[in-house]
Amino acid sequence: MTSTIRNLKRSPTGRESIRERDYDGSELSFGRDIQSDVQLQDLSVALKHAKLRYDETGEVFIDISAGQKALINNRIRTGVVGPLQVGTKVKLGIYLITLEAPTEKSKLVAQLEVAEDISGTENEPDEQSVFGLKRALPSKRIMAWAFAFVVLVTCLVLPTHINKYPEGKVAVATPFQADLFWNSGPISLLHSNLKSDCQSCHVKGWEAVTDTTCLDCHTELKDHAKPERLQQSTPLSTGFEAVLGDVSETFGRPVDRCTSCHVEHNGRAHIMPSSQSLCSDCHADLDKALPDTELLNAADFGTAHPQFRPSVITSPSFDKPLYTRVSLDKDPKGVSGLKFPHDVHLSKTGAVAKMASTLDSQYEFADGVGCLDCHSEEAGGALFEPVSMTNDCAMCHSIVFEDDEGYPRTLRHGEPKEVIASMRDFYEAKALGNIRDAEMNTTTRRRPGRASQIRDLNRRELAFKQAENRTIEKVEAIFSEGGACYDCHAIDRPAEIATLDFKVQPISLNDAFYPLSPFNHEQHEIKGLSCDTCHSAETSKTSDDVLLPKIEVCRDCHIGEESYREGGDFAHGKFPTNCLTCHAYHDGEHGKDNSKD
Amino acid sequence: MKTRKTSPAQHVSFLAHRRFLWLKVSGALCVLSIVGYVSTDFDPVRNGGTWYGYTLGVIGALLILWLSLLGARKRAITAGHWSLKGWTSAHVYLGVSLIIVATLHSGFQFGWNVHTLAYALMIFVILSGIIGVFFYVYIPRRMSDNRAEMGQMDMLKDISNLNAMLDDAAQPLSDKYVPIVRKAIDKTKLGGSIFRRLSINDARCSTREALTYFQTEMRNVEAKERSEILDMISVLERKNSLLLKIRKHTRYKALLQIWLYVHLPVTFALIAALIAHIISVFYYN
Ligand code: HEM
Ligand code: HEM
Repeated sequence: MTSTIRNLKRSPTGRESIRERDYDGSELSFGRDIQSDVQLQDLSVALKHAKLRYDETGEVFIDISAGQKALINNRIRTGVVGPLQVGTKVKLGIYLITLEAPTEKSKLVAQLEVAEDISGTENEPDEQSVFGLKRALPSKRIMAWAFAFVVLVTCLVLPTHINKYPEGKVAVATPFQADLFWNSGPISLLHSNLKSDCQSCHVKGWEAVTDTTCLDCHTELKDHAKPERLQQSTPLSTGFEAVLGDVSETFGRPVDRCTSCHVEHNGRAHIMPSSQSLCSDCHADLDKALPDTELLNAADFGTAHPQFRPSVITSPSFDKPLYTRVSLDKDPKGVSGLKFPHDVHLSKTGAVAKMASTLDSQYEFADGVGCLDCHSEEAGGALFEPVSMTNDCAMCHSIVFEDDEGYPRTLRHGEPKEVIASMRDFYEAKALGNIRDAEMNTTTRRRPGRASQIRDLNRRELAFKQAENRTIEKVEAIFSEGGACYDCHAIDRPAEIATLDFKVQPISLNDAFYPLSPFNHEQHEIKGLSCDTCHSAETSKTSDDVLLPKIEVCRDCHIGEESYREGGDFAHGKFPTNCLTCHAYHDGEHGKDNSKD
Repeated sequence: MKTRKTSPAQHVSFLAHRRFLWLKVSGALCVLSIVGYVSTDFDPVRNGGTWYGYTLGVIGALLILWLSLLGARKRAITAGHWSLKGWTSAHVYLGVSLIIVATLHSGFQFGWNVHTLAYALMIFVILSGIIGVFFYVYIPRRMSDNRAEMGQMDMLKDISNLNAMLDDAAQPLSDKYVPIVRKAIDKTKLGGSIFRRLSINDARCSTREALTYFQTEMRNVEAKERSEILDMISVLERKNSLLLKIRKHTRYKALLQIWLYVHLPVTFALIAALIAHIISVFYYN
């Protein structure tokens, strides 16, 4: 009783060699165990994996150990399998056992071979995949091109496309507004209605924003000066600046556009440029460029600003007063035509104060008359309302001409003809009243007759005559020293008083000494400042005095941007101002006094 | 890839190239830019749109283009003053100076737009470059200490040999031990995902698991199998320490390369964004 194993080996060149071995007995054990009949050196094989055996009839069976498996004719089997035909292939781990036909000496013959390549070279890791990063990360080159592609599409192609076809399919389909990626900064607050509408200003690609575009909306801007004079006075750029200008033009950005000064996309801060040099570049030496200019050169407020030249009235008129600009250094007189001594009114002890105290309960004049009792602030507080006789003077300066049985008769201010007419009306009406009263009293005891008729006539004539005389007397009185009008107005007396041709000389109140640079009083309402800090009204004896402070007074607190920047004692404790603190640019021609002529 | 023999000194020497010439040049560029920025009177706004802004912008853009050419330059071999070492030295120092030049160019105006995108990408490239240089300085010494003259191929061969030894040592073992050894042989991963490479953590390594298992098992193993298990443990220990060395090496190699996976692709994105930036400021002029 023998069994035979034919061990087939293949050399690397493919040559086969077979070694036969015979075993005693009808059983062959297979396993990793050294004790096995056939030792299989493979870790996927169990120590005792299976047995091949044949029975009395010569049928061959395989007993697979519990828990183990074998691949028999390519099917996974367990337990006892058989009888097995010749040619059956049993696979255990890497080993293949093929049942062969029995021979004379052996009923059980099987060929054993290694069926899988175990050289192991193929699962040896290669150096590049272990140590290189190529397989752990996407290729650098692919990432590079992909990134570049994404950026170019979203940040360049899409925005330009949408700009060209704002209503096109792409524009409609993209969920975001691609050209907003180009927004270089927040738009100024004043333009924020346009913030998503790039094309309202960037009308054409590659074309710098034009002045026409700005002026489409800003229709009311006035020229700063006549264009040719503006050009004449602008210093020609030289050297480096000229080169810069040329370069800028070459790249499609002409200089001297609206946007040269009003730079957008810089938030709220910069749309209104305020730098001093914007003005002083031209105004510092204006007389050189424009020898005939009426304007004085001006630059830094602290060091190079001329004395103020308010427009003062040199010739009052009811309809067209004549204004002239005179430097405060020349101690100008403004002729209003009015008699008004500030000192008398402001004195704390004089007649005015006394009279005021009697009116205290009505007007709160307890401590005399103050500035604000006559000058009332404009709405907004920057300036003051023009002084008005009825609102601001009449509380004291009553123009009552007659106390008519407890009912004061007041004249109409500002209308001298009407004043005279209404006085005459009043006295004539009084005369008529007297006549009527007299006639009523006499009818009972008077006999009718020609003589009494004549007497009545005479009496009437006399009454009217007296009324006329009274009128003349009263009118003359109000227009003469001590009279209501005369107190404040200069009067032209008629040669013949009886004509009552009194004329009030023209008066004009100056309500804008600096029409283009209005002062803001409200901003100066701060602790330590009062009216008399700047206006010395208390010592002014005549209304001709121009009570405006000179520039030196302003400079007590304010100096210019540049002198402030230079610092030092001069700048110590001062507030910097620039030109735009008081002046504006687009408010019309500054070369002449254009507000009042 | 051949294992390049690189001494640490050689790796870092580009920093000190020609007595820090490029450090000086780059420092001078920064100082000039700052002085110019502070002393120029910009009216009305300080930003890329002034003449000074354009100047810095053009300098910055040219620098970026030149820096980007290093990749091409690396593939051409020349020597002398314009050696690759010189290029790299200039690249590093001029690259850093861009932080100053570009920031001053922008006038510190940043927002959610292409302009700032270009800027941010540039900063990204520069930071990755700085990190790269740091690795170049820091890693090579450690790397050669770790592998002690051993080549990468040597390490892999040793692993194969140790696997064969594990296989041999496992043959006589009881069936219950076999899957553990097989796992240690077959499932021990080298390389792998970028995260695995960067961490040398071996907690889930099957060799490590097998080693721990057998070390514990020694306590209740039958006497007749004791010597086989001891053999197994000694082989596993050898493999384990070699694996640690390899993992460290892999990590160093990954660090030396990974920053370039940011540096180079982001450079491309930067150039794209820069093109968009320059075109956009002239298109919406
Ligand atoms: C030829 C080169 C360049 C030109 C002509 C250029 C042009 C400009 C212009 C005109 C602006 C002002 C935009 C505005 O505020 O309206 C600007 C701003 C800016 N540029 Fe450039 N630039 C150049 C290069 C660069 C480079 C190299 C970078 C950085 C990578 C850069 C980043 C920026 C940034 C961050 C801003 C600020 C944008 C903002 O105001 O929000 N530029 N550039
Ligand atoms: C915006 C600035 C920069 C750009 C556009 C840039 C771009 C590049 C490019 C394209 C390469 C070639 C990559 C390759 O093909 O392998 C490179 C390599 C390199 N960069 Fe930069 N780089 C910049 C800044 C920096 C900075 C600031 C540093 C260091 C502080 C730096 C350090 C390096 C180093 C060391 C290499 C050489 C890598 C090698 O040869 O192994 N770079 N850079």
